[in-house]
Amino acid sequence: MNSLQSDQVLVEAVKVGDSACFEELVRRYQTMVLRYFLLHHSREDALDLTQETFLHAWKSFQTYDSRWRFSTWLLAIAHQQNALFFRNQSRSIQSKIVGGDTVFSELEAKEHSSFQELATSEENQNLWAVIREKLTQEQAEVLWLFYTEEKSQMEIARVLNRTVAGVKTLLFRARQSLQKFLK
Amino acid sequence: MNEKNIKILLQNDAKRLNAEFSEDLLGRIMTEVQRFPVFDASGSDRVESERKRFFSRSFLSRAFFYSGMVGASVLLGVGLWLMTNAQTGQNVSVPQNVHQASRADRLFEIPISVNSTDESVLEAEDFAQGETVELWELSGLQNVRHLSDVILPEIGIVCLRHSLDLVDVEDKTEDWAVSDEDGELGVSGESAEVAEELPGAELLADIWSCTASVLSAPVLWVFEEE
Repeated sequence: MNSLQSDQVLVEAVKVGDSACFEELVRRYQTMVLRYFLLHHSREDALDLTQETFLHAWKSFQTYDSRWRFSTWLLAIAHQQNALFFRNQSRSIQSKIVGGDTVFSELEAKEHSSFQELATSEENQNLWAVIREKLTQEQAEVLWLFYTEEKSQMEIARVLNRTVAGVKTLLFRARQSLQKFLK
Repeated sequence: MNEKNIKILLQNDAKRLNAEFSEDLLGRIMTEVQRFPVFDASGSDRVESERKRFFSRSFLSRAFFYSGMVGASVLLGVGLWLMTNAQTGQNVSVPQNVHQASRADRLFEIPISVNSTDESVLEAEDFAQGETVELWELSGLQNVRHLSDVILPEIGIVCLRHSLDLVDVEDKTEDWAVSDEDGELGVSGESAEVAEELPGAELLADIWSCTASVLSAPVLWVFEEE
């Protein structure tokens, strides 16, 4: 598959079932999606969630709205997968606690493991580890999408399922919280 | 630290997350994809149902918000007339500075009934100055008249029509309050600089500045979506 073809051309081909074009899209955006999940999860979970995200995208390609960039649509799916993961994890913890098994701290530790490893292994603490620790999940996400992925506020609103005004507020508060740690 | 430096710092640290491309992961994804050579309708349905759920939730929250705004806007217009009537004993034209205000562009001219004996009459202390009250069950001009019947004449009602799309539905609008110290509109617990940055700040500040100077009584704010 020609790697010079635009996303739009590839998307149109995928819509009629061309898996080779889909493979090219995976090549282009795998790293972006994986990085997004590494923001919240251990490497193992991030790899699984990346796979789930692309599989979900493949299955529901007919619903892709070409008014949005493909990467924005993909991140919106990743955001949904992320929310689903945390919801399932929460249920899992609850059911295990009901069963008398005190695994909460173990699961919590697992969730933070990637950043804890990162924070302690590096000479200087990774700023994202601090963000993950100190800011809310949505604040961390909005900072990630705005600064790292360089998404517009409108695109972020699409990914996070919020209004543009809501994104502006979220971004403002996230920056404000971040400034406290940067001083 | 300025915005540019923050961006560079965050982008550099993001690279340290070590999210390199993986042929193995690509292989795993494509193996799964091969199991679904034709688009799975259930997958599409799930996305569609998620979308419907989002839109219905979004629609409901907006509907509640704007119906509140309609009710609130209704009250505001009547309040001005109550105020001017109480001060002069006759129908007085709308204060000039309110007319000139760029955003407060319409006031309802409603006949006021000031001698209501209705037991449901609202007391002045029910409303702090500058308070915004959301009246879900009220909407439209007829309800302004109804409100004018049940609210004491010393309570001002300022009704404004606005495009309120700058105000985030999910945000806590109740954080907005008038300072006892200087009478300025601000956000509870936030500095003036922070409040100015929030969505809707300019709009609310405009409304406040164009009406605060002409009203001295308790005021019920009512907003109606344009």
